[in-house]
Amino acid sequence: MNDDNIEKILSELGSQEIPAEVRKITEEVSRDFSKTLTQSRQPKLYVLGDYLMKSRFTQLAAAAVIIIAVLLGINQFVGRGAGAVFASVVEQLHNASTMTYSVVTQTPVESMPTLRIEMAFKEPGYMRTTTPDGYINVIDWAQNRGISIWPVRKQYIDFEASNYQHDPAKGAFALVEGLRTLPCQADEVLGEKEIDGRVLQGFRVIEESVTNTVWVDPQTRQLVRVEMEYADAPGMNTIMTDFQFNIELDDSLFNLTPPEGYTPLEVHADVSTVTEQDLIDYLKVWSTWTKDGTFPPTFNPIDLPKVTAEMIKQGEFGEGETSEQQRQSEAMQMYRGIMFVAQLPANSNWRYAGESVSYGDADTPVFWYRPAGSETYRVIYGDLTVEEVLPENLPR
Amino acid sequence: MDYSEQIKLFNKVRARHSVFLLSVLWKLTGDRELFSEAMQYTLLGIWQHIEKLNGKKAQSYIYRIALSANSKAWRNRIGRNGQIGANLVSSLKGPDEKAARTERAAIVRRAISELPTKQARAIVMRYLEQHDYDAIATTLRCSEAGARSHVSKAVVALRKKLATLAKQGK
Repeated sequence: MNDDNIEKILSELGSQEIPAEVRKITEEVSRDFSKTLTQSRQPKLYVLGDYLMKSRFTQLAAAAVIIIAVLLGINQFVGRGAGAVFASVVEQLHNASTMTYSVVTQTPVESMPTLRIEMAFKEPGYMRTTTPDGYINVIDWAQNRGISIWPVRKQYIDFEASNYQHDPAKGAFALVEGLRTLPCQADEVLGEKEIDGRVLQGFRVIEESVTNTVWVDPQTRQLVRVEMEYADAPGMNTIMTDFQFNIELDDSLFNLTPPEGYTPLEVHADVSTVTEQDLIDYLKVWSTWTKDGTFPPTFNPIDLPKVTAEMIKQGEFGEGETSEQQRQSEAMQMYRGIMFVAQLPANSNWRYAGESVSYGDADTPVFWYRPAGSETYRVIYGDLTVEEVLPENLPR
Repeated sequence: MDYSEQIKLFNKVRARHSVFLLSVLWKLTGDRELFSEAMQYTLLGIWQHIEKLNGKKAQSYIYRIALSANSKAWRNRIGRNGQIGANLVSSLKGPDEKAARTERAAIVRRAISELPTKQARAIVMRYLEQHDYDAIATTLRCSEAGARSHVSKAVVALRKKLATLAKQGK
């Protein structure tokens, strides 16, 4: 193609007429899309189904999406940052029997979508989270049981919650006590500001690497808005709004019985016993799913479902048949491996660098962390061998 | 913002930008199926980022979403082997000059979908929407000279890509 023609071709593209048929396509696509939002709260793309494969790997990758959804739901209760804000909300909840609110997490990364979760709480310990994508998580702390429901695939996971941090003496619930008198303990009083047509009183509370900005209606003394910013993740923020207290929440919202016609994906792992070997097994299992033998592209719980879905679409998982028992076993392995990382404390300084690394690459570190009380790091290489490494010798 | 408010805002944003999206996505795809796919990805992107689309930067986000959706639709069509789908190629090839022009246009469109975001945006604004450099500079938040540079770099990048594609016979 003659170089000189390029600008001419570009100009021709710019002057193209739009066929009436294309206008009609636009109307139909827009109407269908809006309809799915209104009817099912689940935007549906009619182009994607063509790319999904019905192989065991696709099913397992899909299981990954569910599992991560479970973790996302749980992190709303015990995660450090979310827990802090949750605690400040629960401070008002002490006198309330029910509470609902919305959580929106945004990042500066374009490929990471804004994450919105609707939360509902009801005494004596029921929690429910819902995402616009349709994931539902319900936990009953009294029974130490939970269920994660994925309506799109008509699947669910029963899980035991007993091993997650739910000790009133520590974690999120200790913060509740600490924040009971939040305005008095604020690090900074911000004064008044008009937000969404309301004049609110602001307070700033800094907890380690998380800065909480709390907005209270001075007239009603009700919590209206909480904003969180993370020193470790510049540009990322979480905003909690739409607080409602003592509204009627039907018990059926917290029912742990799966909807009729849904198939189970059992997860009864005792996550208090997960070890480094579980992570190694997970990495190995994942590398057998991908066509090129590579490890998971990320451990980011928000990013992984999206990336996994993209990999499914791109056909990056191999095909093959296996028994239901093996599927369950591999899904369980994945769950335990992820939980091992999820439960590592912040000061373990864990890092994952396995993206695009294939199983067998003995020279490339894919994961490292510092076990509690250790002076050295454990480094897992691409051949899944492990070495003790001094901090100064860690990969850069 | 509750769910019903989100839907209202989504419909408002969609209506406000529908002419722009229709025009740009059609010029970038030139194929009905590809257009439909890119439009769906764009709507999904708008929905996923709806909280960010209620301010002054909305147009900027819409641009990014539309260009990203276009790239994604093209990637799906091209496939992992780097080839444009046989159905698309066969519909383009023909003995006459018009068919050859259509094929060249498809190759240029594909090359645009592979440009870095800023260059793609500069080329779209300049040639597909026929904006002047002042408007491009405002949108890209750079000087007029900077806007000219982005367009120029994009044209150079397109030439390189097209030369590569020509060598590969795609």
